[in-house]
Amino acid sequence: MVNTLPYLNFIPAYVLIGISILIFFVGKAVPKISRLPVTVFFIFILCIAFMMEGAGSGSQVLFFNMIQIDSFSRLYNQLFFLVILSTVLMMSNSEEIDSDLRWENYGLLSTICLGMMFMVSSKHLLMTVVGIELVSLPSYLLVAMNKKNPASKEAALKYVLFGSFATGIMLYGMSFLFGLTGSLTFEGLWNGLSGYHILGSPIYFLAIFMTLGGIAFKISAVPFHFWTPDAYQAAPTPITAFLSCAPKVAGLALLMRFFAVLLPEQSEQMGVFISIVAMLTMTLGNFAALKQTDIKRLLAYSSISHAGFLLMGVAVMNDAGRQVVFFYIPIYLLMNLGAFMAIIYLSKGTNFQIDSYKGMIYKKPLLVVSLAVCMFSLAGIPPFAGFIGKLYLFKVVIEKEMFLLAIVAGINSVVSLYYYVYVLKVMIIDKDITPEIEFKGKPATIAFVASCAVPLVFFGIYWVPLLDWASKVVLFQ
Amino acid sequence: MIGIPEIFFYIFCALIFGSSLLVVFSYNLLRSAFALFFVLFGIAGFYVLLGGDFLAVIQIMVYAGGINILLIFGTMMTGSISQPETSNPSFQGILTLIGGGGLLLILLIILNHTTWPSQSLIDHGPTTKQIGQLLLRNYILPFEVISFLLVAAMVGAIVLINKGERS
Amino acid sequence: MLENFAYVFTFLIVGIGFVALNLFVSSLIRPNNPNEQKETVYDCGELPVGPGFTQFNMRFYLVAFVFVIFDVEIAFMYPVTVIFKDMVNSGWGILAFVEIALFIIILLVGFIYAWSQGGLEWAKSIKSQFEKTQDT
Repeated sequence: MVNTLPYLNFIPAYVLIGISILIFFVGKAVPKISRLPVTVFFIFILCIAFMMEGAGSGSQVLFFNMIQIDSFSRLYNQLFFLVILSTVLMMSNSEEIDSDLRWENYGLLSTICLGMMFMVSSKHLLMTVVGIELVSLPSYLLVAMNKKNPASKEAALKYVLFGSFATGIMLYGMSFLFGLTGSLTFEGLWNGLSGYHILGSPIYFLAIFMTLGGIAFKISAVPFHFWTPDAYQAAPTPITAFLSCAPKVAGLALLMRFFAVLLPEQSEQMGVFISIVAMLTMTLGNFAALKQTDIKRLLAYSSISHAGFLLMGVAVMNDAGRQVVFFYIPIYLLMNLGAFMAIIYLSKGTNFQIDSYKGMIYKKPLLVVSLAVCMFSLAGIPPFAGFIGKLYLFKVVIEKEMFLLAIVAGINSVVSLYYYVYVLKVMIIDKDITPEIEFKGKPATIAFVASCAVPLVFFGIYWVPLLDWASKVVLFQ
Repeated sequence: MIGIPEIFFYIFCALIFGSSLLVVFSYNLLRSAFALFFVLFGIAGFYVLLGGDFLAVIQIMVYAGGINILLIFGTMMTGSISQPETSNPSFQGILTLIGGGGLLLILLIILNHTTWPSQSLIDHGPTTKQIGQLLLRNYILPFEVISFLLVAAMVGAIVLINKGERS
Repeated sequence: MLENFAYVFTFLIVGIGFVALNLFVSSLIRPNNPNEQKETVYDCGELPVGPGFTQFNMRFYLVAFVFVIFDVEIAFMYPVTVIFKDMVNSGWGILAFVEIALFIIILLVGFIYAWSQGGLEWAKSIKSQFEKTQDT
């Protein structure tokens, strides 16, 4: 028997996050500790974890083929820490978060973080399931914890039912895969499936589609997107922002790792399949967003369509595609988090109707300008970073000669322009009819949105540092 | 020639099928929850027939003994439980029927046309020791990580219940 | 191995058969003249108050939930206890101990949390209910 404890040297950040989960739950139980400033502590832990992942190097298969630590997993983990850091900042500025439950919220966030870390590094279906569940379960709870909106419980229940349904389908598919190949590791799986009597048979597609269902649920790709608008609308806004970024990124990373060890002919089929899903996802997300009147629902559908765009990078199934996805993700995080933070500041109570933002530019010019940058970037308008991200996505897709996908994505970019610009039109051009209102938000909120908008402009003009960062993302290195 | 295991297979099939029909079509939510016990018990029977003795016992202990109780408590907390006749509207419309039937048909056709790389059922003997060794060796990471999931679930349940009591 | 389960099956049959047989025999020899008093629900000899179908307190669910969590914990720990002696004999006892201790410590955190947040307190909720009825 091999000693497993020395393995812990290779996964310091995982251990740290695991310990922090325990500290958060125990800390709440001890009255003396529970009065300490937990937010500062959590930010400190995240910074340490970020540095730990930055210091690591090399590729390592750990725990008997369960997880793979490589530059891919390290860089994605760093992204997760950054997202959670911004979520924590948003949470401490939002009225929808119950400040009595700070310890629990951070504990659940760390649990999600651990789950996402295992999702990006897993190379075994069992670890995949554990990772997905570690992300799902605290997400349901966080959605239910909206202090102001009682509908959040109903939304959380919908989310739970849909999530368990998706997990059930995924496990059923995995049981087929295991029955066909007798293996649960990704390599063993695809190798086992390469037999000529299995490849291309109905059961092959059924098993893989069902398995991908669970991952599609996490990235809210069609046809597993139904939960998204309801859950996003009723959840506390910082949690909505978090859910629209981090689990989606983890799901995409898991998908890329799952497809990393494909044999050539399988890669051909799966590329076609993923590109169909991508086209459906972005089209549905965009056209559903057109008729939304609630800003959170609108951004929910916009995040669905962005999942579709990001799936373009997955569909090409090569290193270039994976790097472009990583290139686009930080941009997506910036623009999405910035937009949500602006909404937290501008909204009163549970009213998130777009009409209620009329004439905001005259009250909060800096905030609305920053929001406009985020929105234009989401739409992919040239001088901003979102355009560069989309440009690179189109480039890899066209290099792979997937012209249909490129055309559909192009049409979708144009369509998406309409609803992003509509929001800005309401804020900037429409005359204010609402009486004078007081904003209770702190100036830090505006600083946060502005600090999301500035890099978006900067990377839109000079994106080389981002490209360098993305070029480090290589699987198995 | 039908051996004794096959007879038991069909007995368990009948048990599962009959009681799952009860689960689905009973208009009394509590009765559905109780009928679920027999479904879970029948699945334990399948595990025995497939040589998973440990799994069978766990199935009875955790699912039939624990989760089913949880479900029964859950049904007892539903608002309209005092009118058992209306608490569980069973028929959800023709579309669900088509959807469910279609899925069943697809699964039946595909699974029937597949040649599974099957092994003959060898008598392995008790499996508990092997499972213990695997848990401490190959599956040590999921084994430890799963406990975080359990803790998160527990904390979440307490938070939501405390919140519900306060409001 | 299936033969071993024949014993289980025998117990099952005997258990079900015992109940069925007793009910059958007693139905043969007992007198049968029901009245309204006899047909009320038996509730520890007390007269039943209100219908049986009422909405229950959420505390029941919480206790059942904690029970299921620890049930699952036992399910994971049981196979380890079976091989623990072998592990000790082959010199890996410490490792096995550390691994299982980690598992328990993590779950203990959940238990500490449940305890400290009043998840296991019955007296508090009963007392508050009692005070409520006193007020009205």
